[in-house]
Amino acid sequence: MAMVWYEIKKILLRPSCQIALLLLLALSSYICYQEVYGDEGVEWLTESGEWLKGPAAAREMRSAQEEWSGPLDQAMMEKALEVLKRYEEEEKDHPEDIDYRFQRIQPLMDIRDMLNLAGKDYYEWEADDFFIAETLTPETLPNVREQRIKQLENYLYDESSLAYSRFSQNEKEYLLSCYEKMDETIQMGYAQGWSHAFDAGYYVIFYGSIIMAFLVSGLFANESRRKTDAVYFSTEHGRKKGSAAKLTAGFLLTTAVYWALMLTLNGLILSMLGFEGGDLSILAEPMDNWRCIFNLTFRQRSLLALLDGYIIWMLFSGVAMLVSASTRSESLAATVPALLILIPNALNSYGITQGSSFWMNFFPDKMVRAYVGNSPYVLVEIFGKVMPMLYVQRFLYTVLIVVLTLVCWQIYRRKQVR
Amino acid sequence: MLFMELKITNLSKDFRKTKAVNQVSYTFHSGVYGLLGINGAGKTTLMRMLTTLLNPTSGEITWDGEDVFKMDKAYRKLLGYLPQDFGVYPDFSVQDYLRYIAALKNLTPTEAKEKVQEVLLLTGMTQFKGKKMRTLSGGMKRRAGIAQAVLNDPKILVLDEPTAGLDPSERIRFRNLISELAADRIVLLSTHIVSDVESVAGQIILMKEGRFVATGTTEELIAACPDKGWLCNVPKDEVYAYHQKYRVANVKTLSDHAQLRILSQDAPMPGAVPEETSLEDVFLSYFGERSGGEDGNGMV
Ligand SMILES: Nc1ncnc2c1ncn2[C@@H]1O[C@H](COP(=O)(O)OP(=O)(O)O)[C@@H](O)[C@H]1O
Ligand SMILES: [Mg+2]
Repeated sequence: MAMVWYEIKKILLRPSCQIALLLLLALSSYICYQEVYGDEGVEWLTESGEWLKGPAAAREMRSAQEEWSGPLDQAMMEKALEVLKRYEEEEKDHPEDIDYRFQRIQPLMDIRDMLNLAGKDYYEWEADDFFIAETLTPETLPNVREQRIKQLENYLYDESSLAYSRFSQNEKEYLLSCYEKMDETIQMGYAQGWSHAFDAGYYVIFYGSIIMAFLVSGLFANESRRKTDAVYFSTEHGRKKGSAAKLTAGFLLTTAVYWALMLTLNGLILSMLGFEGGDLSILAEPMDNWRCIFNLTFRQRSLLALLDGYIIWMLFSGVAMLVSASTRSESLAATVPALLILIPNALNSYGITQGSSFWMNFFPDKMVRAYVGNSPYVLVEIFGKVMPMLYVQRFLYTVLIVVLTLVCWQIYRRKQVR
Repeated sequence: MLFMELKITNLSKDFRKTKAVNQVSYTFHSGVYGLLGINGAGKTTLMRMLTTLLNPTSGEITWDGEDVFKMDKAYRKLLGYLPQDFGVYPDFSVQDYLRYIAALKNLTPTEAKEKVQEVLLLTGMTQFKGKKMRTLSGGMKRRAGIAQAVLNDPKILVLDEPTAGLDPSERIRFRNLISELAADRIVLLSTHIVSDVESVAGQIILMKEGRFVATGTTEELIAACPDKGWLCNVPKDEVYAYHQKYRVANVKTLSDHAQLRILSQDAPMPGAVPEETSLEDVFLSYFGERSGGEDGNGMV
């Protein structure tokens, strides 16, 4: 144990690592700020025309949404429709107040989004369709569940759609079965705390993994760079237990930093924006999650994303340590994991790989993104069974972490000092 | 059965075309061994094999009859090693560093605490124990290096050029330290400076181009050396000619002639006065060049 502690100390005492940790902290704080007060944060327009942000906005939104919480059944939809139409009418009497209508429909914005989305085929959406809800009547109110399924069917089986050839028959059936698992009626309610905590977590997992890899990248490589390896390998434990201690230190530090950071981040955002809504289906925020194939509550999604993020961080630390042990180069060890996530991410976001290339789907950026709102469906078929790539990655990455660790240990304990 | 025998048999290490260590056999028992040779002789390579850092190309190393690579950590338990290129963890304090190495050497934290105090005292580093290693001078680093080497009371203490870069007073200090450490263990000390080993080493090994070219006590080496030292007075304009023909250990220019100290089997000229041969002469005779001086400006 003493060995593990000193290995961690080697990292923590290094100025460059201290800077990296500060950077991680600054980055997380910035993301946290953005998700609460900033551009991504919660906003609320008061009756007096004042824009509230952050916890104050969350407080207003929460109490205003109470009236619109509960199952989105016919009665609730009719009530929403009535209110929406009323404000559409009233708006005409208040031409001086451009925010008149918006201010008043804020509490039922999610329901309105739902009506908009279910009211017309999602894939035929255009800018002015933002007002579909108000065109509906009690008789034409959609069945949300059926509408979602129908839209997906149209998308998958329309010969002119990209999806038509992209997905196999099995995959199409799988996607539809995911939508069919959706509850008959969705529970609506306030869950801003959870959704913002999740969004913030996504960024921290993504960029933090790169910083974490940097932190552990010197563990092995620095021994030869600083020529401390000669003494190290000549000691009783230098080869077996010493190398194990290094790996333990790397993973322990990763674990500690990850959970401390992520739990603090989630705790902070939840306590600022509210813990309620964890039991609601993520579809209660339809704008973000309408296409999502995962039937999860906000709390489940947050927990799973936390675990997935942990796997990614551990994998990156593992890769960094393996490169560190086998190439003796700290910079290479820090760069390889960063490239593993940044390159595929860049390729995908510039549309170079169309997001559909089979091998590109194995990269970790896909895993980080798996639960993010309306990201593309990433599926694989294994022995005739279709599943989200996410499940395969969870399994593969976990196995990979174990394998990397063993390989790294084997490489380092046999290292010769020339 | 413990007779403390470190034995190397036909040990070789090739790097591509270089035979860094070439078919060396030797047996070490308790005592101080001075491994003497110029830069590139293969001393470091030999020591790296003895400390299991490097696998031999051929040959074997045994401790009390057992292959040291098979003994693995049971062998490394006996080792203390000060490498030639001794690196440190810049952000560790001396005390941190020693406790860390103590942990690697399987000392419990309590043992480590005690032992670290002890080696700090031994090396005169006690008042510097809180200093960050990046701020240590070369000499202090070396002392910290010796401190770590002896943490586990090693039966085999391997010191690779421990005096390189030390000033004369530190060298003397160091020699005294070696004598203190010599009891009941094998101390193998490499250097290219004759004076480092001639007083402390019981056995001296002359290493050249990967081979042990001569071994024995100082007296034995001198006795076995074919060359003798001769003092000759020669005219100044003939000095160059003598340099061409003989190994000249020393030149002293006097007012009307030069006094040369020449190494040769027979008297190089009539009237040459035989002198007592020194270990330095033996070195010169084998290597054709003088060993590094006290001031450390020799080859490193
Ligand atoms: N890692 C290495 N790769 C290639 N050649 C080496 C290596 N280490 C040492 N050598 C060569 O082996 C010979 C002996 O080197 P070394 O053991 O360092 O000698 P010494 O310690 O006596 O100066 C030299 O010719 C050196 O160039
Ligand atoms: Mg050397």
